[in-house]
Amino acid sequence: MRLLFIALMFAAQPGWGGAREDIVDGNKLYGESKFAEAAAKYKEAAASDPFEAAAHFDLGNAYFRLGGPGDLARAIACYQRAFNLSPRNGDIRHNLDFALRRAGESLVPTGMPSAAFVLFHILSRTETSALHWLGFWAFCLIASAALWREGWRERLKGWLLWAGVFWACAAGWWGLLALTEVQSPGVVLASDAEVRSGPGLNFPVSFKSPEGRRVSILEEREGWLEIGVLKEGLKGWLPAEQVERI
Amino acid sequence: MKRALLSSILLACASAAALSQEFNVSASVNRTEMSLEDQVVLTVSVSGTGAGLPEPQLPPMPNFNVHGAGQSRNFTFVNGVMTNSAEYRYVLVPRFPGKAVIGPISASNGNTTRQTAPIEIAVLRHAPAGGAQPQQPPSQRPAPQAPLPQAAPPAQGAPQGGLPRGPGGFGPDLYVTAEVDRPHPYVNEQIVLTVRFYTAVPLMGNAEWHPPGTQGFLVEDIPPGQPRSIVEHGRRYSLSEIKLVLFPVQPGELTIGPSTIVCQVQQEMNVDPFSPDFFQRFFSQGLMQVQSKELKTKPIVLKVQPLPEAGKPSSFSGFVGRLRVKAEADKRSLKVGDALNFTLTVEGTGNLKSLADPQLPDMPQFRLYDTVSSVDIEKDAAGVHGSKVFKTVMVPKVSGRLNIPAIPVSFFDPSKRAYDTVETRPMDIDAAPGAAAGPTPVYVSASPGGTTITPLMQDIRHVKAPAGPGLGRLAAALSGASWLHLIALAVFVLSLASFLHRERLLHDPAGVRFRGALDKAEATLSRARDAQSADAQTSAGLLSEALAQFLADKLNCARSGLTLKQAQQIVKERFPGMPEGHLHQLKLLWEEIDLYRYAPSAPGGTGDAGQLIDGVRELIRAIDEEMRR
Repeated sequence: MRLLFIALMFAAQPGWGGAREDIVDGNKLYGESKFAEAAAKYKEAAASDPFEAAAHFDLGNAYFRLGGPGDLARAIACYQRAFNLSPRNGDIRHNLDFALRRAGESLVPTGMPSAAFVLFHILSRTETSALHWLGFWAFCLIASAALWREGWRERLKGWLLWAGVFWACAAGWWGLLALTEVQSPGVVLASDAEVRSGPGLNFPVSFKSPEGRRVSILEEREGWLEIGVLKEGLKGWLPAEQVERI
Repeated sequence: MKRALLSSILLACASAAALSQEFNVSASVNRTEMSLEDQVVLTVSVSGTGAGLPEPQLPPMPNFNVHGAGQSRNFTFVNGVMTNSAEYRYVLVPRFPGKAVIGPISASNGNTTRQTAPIEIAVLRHAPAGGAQPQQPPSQRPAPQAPLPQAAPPAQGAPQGGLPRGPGGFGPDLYVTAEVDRPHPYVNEQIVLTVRFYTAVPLMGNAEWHPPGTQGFLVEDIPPGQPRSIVEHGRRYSLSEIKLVLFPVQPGELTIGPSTIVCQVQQEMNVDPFSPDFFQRFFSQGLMQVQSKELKTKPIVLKVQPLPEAGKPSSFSGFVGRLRVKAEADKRSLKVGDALNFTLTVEGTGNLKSLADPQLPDMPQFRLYDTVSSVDIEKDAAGVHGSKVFKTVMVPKVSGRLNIPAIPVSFFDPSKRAYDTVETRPMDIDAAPGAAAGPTPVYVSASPGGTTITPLMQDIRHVKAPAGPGLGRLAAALSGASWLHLIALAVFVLSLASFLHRERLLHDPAGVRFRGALDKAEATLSRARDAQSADAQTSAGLLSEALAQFLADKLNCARSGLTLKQAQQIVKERFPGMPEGHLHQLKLLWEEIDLYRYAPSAPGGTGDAGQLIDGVRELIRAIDEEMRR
């Protein structure tokens, strides 16, 4: 069991040491207001350890400070990645919400109590997935033991019930998160991006999207992406370079 | 569209803010005692916090002719709080001697209404003894009359019906003319309309003036000058001039309607000494009588030219006139995150109110906040001139020497009949590394002190140190460990299969025996073949065992004591369709095995044992197949 845990921990931390150094260096540059250089360091950290939420969060901050064209959208994408990894972190939630408000959105959907949102997102999708698999393992192992030994069956009945309930709850939570989260999400990079009714400049502009608006990427065709804007319920096509995938 | 939307939002915000913001209104005059020949300057000030301030509403003032004399606005930002003040100036010309009251001047933002106290002014027929003319500020002082331009003959509107001749062939007692300084102006070019009122007879009070219809123009009125004496048509007249500044808003023919002057004239009464009621009229009315006269000018038609398209700069926003521009910053060195006030001042002649905010060039090294503008307009005989000040708060986002490039402002100069562009001088700002406050603080109004903490601004939270190993990455590893999921699933499936198998064995032993009979018999036959060469007796025993066990399993009966006869009988009962050949073959093989087993030396008992084994195998396969049907 100990070996399994160690194996999992090693599998979970590719390039963590390098990422840590890059983040420390980036924070130093950030403190000197050298945001572009800091962003480059954070990018390296995020590339070497995609599970390090601080790398994505700090990269979002650097983009936010740079404030150039498309930087707000890139900041939102980074904050969203950090939020997906660590939804319980209040700073990440604050910055994502702060940036989203600049793009005409908010983190907490309209009409939903803030406390309910925080409670629902107290675990990330990855964590609920892990809980679901833990429940699955527990259920399978306890059930196997009960099937093998008739004498254990009565003793394991209670455990099996709890494992089943736990597995079902975790699977339900995971499923709900997967359903409510934007599928194949992206962020619009261009300001007043012209969203067309087809994948080409020969199609008319259906609507314009502000920079930083979160969208769902539905299809890709010849350098164009079909996007869906959830808030307004609109669909259209944008050049792929005007969208950053989250 | 976006700009219009933004303007609407800002307007809505300003309106909403105005509802909740405090303001004050006050009024003052530069004199409270005056003669009919004098003018009084009324100054109305409105001040308050926030961006929106209401405009003052003047009460009816029948005792005065009211002329706008300019306005100025000023904005200040202190600790994130905007203070706004506006000053409106009016020149009042008295019409009658006596006590005149300027009623309460009100201003309302829809929620709150403020009023000033009434102001009393004593208007004397002649200047008060020893009363010196009050010194007026330059902006309020009526300017000397500008000479009429000689380049183009002015369009004139003579009195309607021509100029009537006066007594003795001289000029009339009173008449009025109107003319403009530019008969062919450009769109939005400043035109001065001058209405001149000549009177050679004494008037009862000052004349009342009705401005002309000016559809298609923006209008600014100019304070009137002092009346002066002039000789025209062989008579000495008192000349009063009234000027309006007009800005045509569209090309084509536009008409300035007639101006109207109404006055009360004292006239000598023609008294006929031979009239029967001569004495009665002489003593009751005297020899003078008052007569009301109304004078009108002719309409003036102007041909307004459109602005040329050729050479129009990209930064042109519609201003026509002349402009100068300068820029200054209150700091040349500061830290990243600190704010500097960038002020752009545009001075010139023309309709400054319509001057749009200048387009600041792209400055990615700065965070720019909304531009606020203040305007100071002065009016004199030459027209409207003044300045407009645009203030922008700029916050450096990066350290180093940052450049604010030249800012161009374009306009159309009607005197040159061409577009012109003036621009500010570029300037450098030294930004030292500082607090990483940058592009996005949102300043909120500070409340008075106390025990509560009031946030001064909102900003993103600071960068984080790396978190290190955590549950998140372990969860990711667990979720991605597909091999572990498969192992758990395989263990469960195997356990379930084993369980089901055992359950089946427990609940259907006859079926299990029936289905396993052939495999079991074949295994025994293989063993019999193996033992054939070494130990014929054992081989024969195994052969017998294989056949008898097969039949016992198929028929679910005990192996021990099963005879050929019993076996044949049970087979016939349970499987009536069993071919007779199979039963006959069974009998032959059974007997041959017995012979081989118990009397190997008997005739036929030493036959080919291998052939016997093959025969048994063929038979049990045939019986099995038949029984499974």
